[in-house]
Amino acid sequence: MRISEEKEKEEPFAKYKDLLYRVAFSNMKNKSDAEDVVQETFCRYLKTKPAFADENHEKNWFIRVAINICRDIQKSAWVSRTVGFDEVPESEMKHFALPYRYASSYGHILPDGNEDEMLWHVMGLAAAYRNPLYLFYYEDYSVQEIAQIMELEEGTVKTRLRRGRQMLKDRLLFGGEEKGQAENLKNKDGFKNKERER
Amino acid sequence: MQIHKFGKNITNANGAGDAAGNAVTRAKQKEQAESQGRGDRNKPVEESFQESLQKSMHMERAEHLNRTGHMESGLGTENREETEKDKESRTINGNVKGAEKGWYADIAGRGGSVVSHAEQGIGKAEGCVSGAGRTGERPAVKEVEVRRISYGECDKVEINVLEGYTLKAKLEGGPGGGIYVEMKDEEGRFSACLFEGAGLQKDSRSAMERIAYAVVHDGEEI
Repeated sequence: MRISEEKEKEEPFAKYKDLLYRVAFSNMKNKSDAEDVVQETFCRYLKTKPAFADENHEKNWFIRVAINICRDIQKSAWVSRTVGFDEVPESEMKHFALPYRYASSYGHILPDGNEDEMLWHVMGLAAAYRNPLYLFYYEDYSVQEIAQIMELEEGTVKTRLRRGRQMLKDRLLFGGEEKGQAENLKNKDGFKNKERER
Repeated sequence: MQIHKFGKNITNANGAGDAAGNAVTRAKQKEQAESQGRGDRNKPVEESFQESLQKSMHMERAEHLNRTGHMESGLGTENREETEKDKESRTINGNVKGAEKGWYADIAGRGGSVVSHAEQGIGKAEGCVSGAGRTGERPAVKEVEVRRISYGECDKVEINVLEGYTLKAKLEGGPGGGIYVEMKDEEGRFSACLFEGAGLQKDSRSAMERIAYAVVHDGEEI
């Protein structure tokens, strides 16, 4: 009886640990923080023992909790007093790999799925845009599912996807690396200066 | 105050043509010359230098606008910039739907018959080539029901964040069988097609056909 209970508790861990690690890494941008987030997510699961209607509900719950924990950590005093990374440090890139082989946005096949520059650019966006974009493109979630996970309206998710893509375009096409580059480009003079440079 | 007025005149000249702007500029210059002639010594030297610098900057800007011909077109500054930005995004990123339309024309040119389908199930396929009666180089494609396969099940996946779509391709029924290709567009709508191996083109304008080709010729780049 006890063994089966243990197995029951461990089952979600085996099922979701990789997914949660990837979601946590995309937010925290380093291995150790991502592992802490995964651990904390399962601690919360064991503490609250929520009842799930189906497997989708269970999966969505885990992702939502992981994203919330990431947000809490990023808001914490320690993180706010230290300099955070907008981009994923090169040393940490080897700790992240997607479990499938895919072709990147630049049109070439990636050997292990972990050399996509675009992925690192997505991770460099603000959380409001990063999470919908990451879940939509790299974890293959639908707009409805993302809306459920992030507790947002579907329209809001679509808007964030569109704006996130625009930010990426701005960043990649105009080489803007600073925060709020997209907003700067909307500014008349900012856009004109960039046009002159080009 | 004078600088503000001067700037205002130049701005007005954007819409009304350069004649009015130049007239006001000449009037201002005359006024300034007169005031100097009257022996107005109260104005500090630094201020007048700054003023002339400002004026020359405004003049340069007005000349630049004249050269680029925006005054003649009558476009306001905001509209003009929006147009440039729109043009930029259209040229660089392309348009998936536009490319797909071109693809149908291309396939029709190659002898395939194009069948447009109405919205169906979860997603809407833009159109498919009928596989019936195909011969030789005709590609065979038919619209099928979206199955929502996972990335893990696929033989090839293409993620194009900038253009906003993802493609999943899976070989079905072994070599010589069909290739199931599923597309998720930027709005999250799904569409799926089943391709037959013969007649697929590597450099097709359709991203769906290209990925189907890549699955058949595994190891080659998409």
